[in-house]
Amino acid sequence: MPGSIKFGVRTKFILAIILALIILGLFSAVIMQTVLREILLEAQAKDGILLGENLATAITEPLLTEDVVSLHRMLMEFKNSREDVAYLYVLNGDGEVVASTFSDGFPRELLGIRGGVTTIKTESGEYIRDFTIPVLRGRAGELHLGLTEELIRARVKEAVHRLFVGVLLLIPVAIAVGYLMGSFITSPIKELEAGVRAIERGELDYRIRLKSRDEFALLAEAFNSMAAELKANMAELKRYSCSLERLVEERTRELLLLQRVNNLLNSGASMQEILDEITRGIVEEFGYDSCAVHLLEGNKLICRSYYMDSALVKKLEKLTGCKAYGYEMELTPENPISRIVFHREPFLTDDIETLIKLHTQDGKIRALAKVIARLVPARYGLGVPLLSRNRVVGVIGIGSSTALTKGDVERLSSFASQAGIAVEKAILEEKLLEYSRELERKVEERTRQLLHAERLATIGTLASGVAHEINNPATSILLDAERILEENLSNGEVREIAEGIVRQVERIRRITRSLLLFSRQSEFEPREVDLNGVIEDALEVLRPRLKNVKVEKRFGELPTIKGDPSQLQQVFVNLILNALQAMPGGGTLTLETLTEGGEVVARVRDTGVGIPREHLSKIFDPFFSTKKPSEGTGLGLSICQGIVERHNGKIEVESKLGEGTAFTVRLPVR
Amino acid sequence: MKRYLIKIIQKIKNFLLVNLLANFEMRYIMLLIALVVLLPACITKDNAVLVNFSDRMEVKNQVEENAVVIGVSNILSPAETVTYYEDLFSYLSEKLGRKVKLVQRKNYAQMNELLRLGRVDAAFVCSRAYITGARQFGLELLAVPVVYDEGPVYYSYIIVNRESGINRFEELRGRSFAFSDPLSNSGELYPRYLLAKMNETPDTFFSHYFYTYSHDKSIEAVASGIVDGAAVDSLIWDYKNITEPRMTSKTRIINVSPPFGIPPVVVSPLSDTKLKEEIRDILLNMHRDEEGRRILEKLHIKRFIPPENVSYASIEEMLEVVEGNAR
Repeated sequence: MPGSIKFGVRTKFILAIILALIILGLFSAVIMQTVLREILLEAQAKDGILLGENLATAITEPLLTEDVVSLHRMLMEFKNSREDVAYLYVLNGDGEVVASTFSDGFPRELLGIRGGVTTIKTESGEYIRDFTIPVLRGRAGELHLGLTEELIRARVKEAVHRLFVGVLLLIPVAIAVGYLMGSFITSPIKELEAGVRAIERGELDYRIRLKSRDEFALLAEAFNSMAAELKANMAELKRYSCSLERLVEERTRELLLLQRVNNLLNSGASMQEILDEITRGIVEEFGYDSCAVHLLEGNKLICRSYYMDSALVKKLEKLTGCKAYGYEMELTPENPISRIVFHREPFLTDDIETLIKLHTQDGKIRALAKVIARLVPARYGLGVPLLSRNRVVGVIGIGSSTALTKGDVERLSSFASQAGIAVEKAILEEKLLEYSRELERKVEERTRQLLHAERLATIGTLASGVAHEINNPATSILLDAERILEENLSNGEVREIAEGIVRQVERIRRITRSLLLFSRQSEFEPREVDLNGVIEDALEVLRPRLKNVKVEKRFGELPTIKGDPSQLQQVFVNLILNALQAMPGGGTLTLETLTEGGEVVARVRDTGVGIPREHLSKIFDPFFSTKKPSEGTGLGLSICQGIVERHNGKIEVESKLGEGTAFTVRLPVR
Repeated sequence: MKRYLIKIIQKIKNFLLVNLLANFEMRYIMLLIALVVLLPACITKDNAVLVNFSDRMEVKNQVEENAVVIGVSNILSPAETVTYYEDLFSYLSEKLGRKVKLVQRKNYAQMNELLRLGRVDAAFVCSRAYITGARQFGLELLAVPVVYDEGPVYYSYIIVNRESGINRFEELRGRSFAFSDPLSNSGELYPRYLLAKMNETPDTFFSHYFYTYSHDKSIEAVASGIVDGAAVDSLIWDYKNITEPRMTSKTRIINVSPPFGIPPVVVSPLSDTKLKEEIRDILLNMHRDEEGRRILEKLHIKRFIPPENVSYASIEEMLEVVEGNAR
């Protein structure tokens, strides 16, 4: 809309010229007032001094001879000869007024004027300059010449007046000049205005054409180039706003995806669900062809989730019969993907197939890569670190059939850095869940083992009771059998039977003793013990279980040791039991005793499965067991160690997987 | 507090920047107005002394009661006189302990009149003026200077221009001549005497003549060729010839008079006797102190002596001859 102009350029021009004229006039007036006045005053002063000096010479004689009449006449004549002479007076050597042009007395205050040139202001406002001219170098007195400045002032005033009249006469001329100049200037301005209006209307192709070669032409040129640039900028701006819109949209999608992931996390979804959501989201929202999330486990990247266009996935699964995830990738220095993990750098490639071929041992995956390459030629790949609190937890990789740009790298990196937290949370939660399940399982097992142990203890007590009850009748039977033997020494048949009874009853008594010893384990009753006997007793207790095992006894001559035979028996029962359990399919059980440097050494060796190396250190721990809960409490070896240590001894284990195990018990002789 | 002040100053600055300086036209108009207003204030300076001309007083020459008034005849022109006698007068003033006022008149007659009326206490006068004064009202001698070795005497010189061929007084017939003062001895009486002896008067002898009223002017008149001849005081001519021979060197002496009694220092008969004595003592003893001697030397006076030693008889003789001739 064309705005109304209050003062046009033309008006301003005219006003400016008039203003300039007035200011110039005022300025000139001031200069005149001062400079002209100064010049005139100076001329007057020169004149005055010269005339005064002449007069002073002329009046020397009349002054010296006190010829007052002549003096007065000379002064009056001089005064009348010039119109600017205000007064004249002569002082003699004593400073007395000898003659003056004043007709009616002498102005008293004038006597105060002394020497040189003095400007005087009278009571009526008149300015007079007093020139003091010495007569006969002051010896005779002095002449005072008063010259009025009023004439000069009047002349200056007159000059200023004329100047003002001149200025006033110039004003119409100024208006005319201003009008013409204004027109001259406004026409190109109007051209320019038309141009600006055209731009306003959006006619960006409008160009101004000026004939002149002045600043306006430059302005027009500048305008034209501005219009051109404006056009270019507008296009650029449009492009930019488009890309900005797209960017915002992408960012929104990214945020929405993140939100979805977080929602899943909060709703307690499993890690797999979360990872699947991420891969699916990236493919669907960001428009890539495929996406995979690999998690870092030790020195390996393991693909945990993979997503691809569904049609493609179906084709793939049909072709290969396998799923993409689950494959592992070693992070070797040659593998460019390891840079993503170790240097946290995004990795861009235009040849995924080769990459996978190079760094995957899995044949299936290689085949898959081949298929992918066949289905989608020219595969571009991008991998970025999945970061959580500045720690790499994995890698997000995408595949694309179109070339990937820096923008893709930034977008995926920014997403990965935020998704990483969610993923790590998911991983932690998963681990936590697994751990709690494991714990639950362990508690259950231990509970069962404890129940079993208790059951065993009850059976033990029961057995000791039974053994005791059996022992008494067995003793009576033994005594009877011995009497029968004594009485029938000559009768071979009866003696043989009696001896058989005695032998069997003795065996009964040994069994019952063993049972009693086993059940009375808590009490430590040291006495002289023959270790070979103790081992024999232990074997006796377990005899029923030795059916498919070959028992080799290599007992040496042993000194007695101090110890609790029942507890020591328990040790060997346990060791032999373990050996038997290690040889479910049969084998050789070797029992060996010997003395070695003040110690009694007993060794129980089997030819069983052996104990894995990593279990060797833990086998004496309470509740450590590799057996089914029904088979052992996990307490056996730990009890054994406790007993041996109570006897100031040591228990050691040697084992080779697949060859067998040997437990060695070392007890001090004294 | 300081921060607050700075804030205010900044606000004012911003205001000025935005409202005045940013507005292009406004800025220049303001500048010009300031210039027009301030310029006259800078240039105009009014250091005039205020004098009320309506406050009038009566002009009267009040001679100081205490001042000693000493006249000097116009043997020399008044301006020369002031210079010539300056030191002597200040010496007198110092010795008397009173102010001494120098009074001059246009001619000898006027000075004699002042002496007669007692308006001057003492005066340096021409010898002939003294004789006239002594005759008329009993003018008294006080002291006389000694200039020449011959004693308290002086001469009249008839001078002509150096370039003129005139060698004798008689050759001045029909020429122009300058007298100094009608009451002068050397400048008027002597040439008149010479004329009288020739039975001539100035009117008959000279083509024309006039009075210069001082000897230095007479010398100047001859030197510059205004007149053909003149009669001058030997004291003046000799003094000038020594001190500034610019004029005298252009003149030539063709006649020297016989010696006359030197122009004396006289006192009015009305003068205070004590003052007379004081002045006389100072003059007579002047050559005895250094300052006095220096002044006398400058004036080419050897010393002052008492008037008893001087004789004005030759002048009186000449007067008789001239007056007789005139009758």
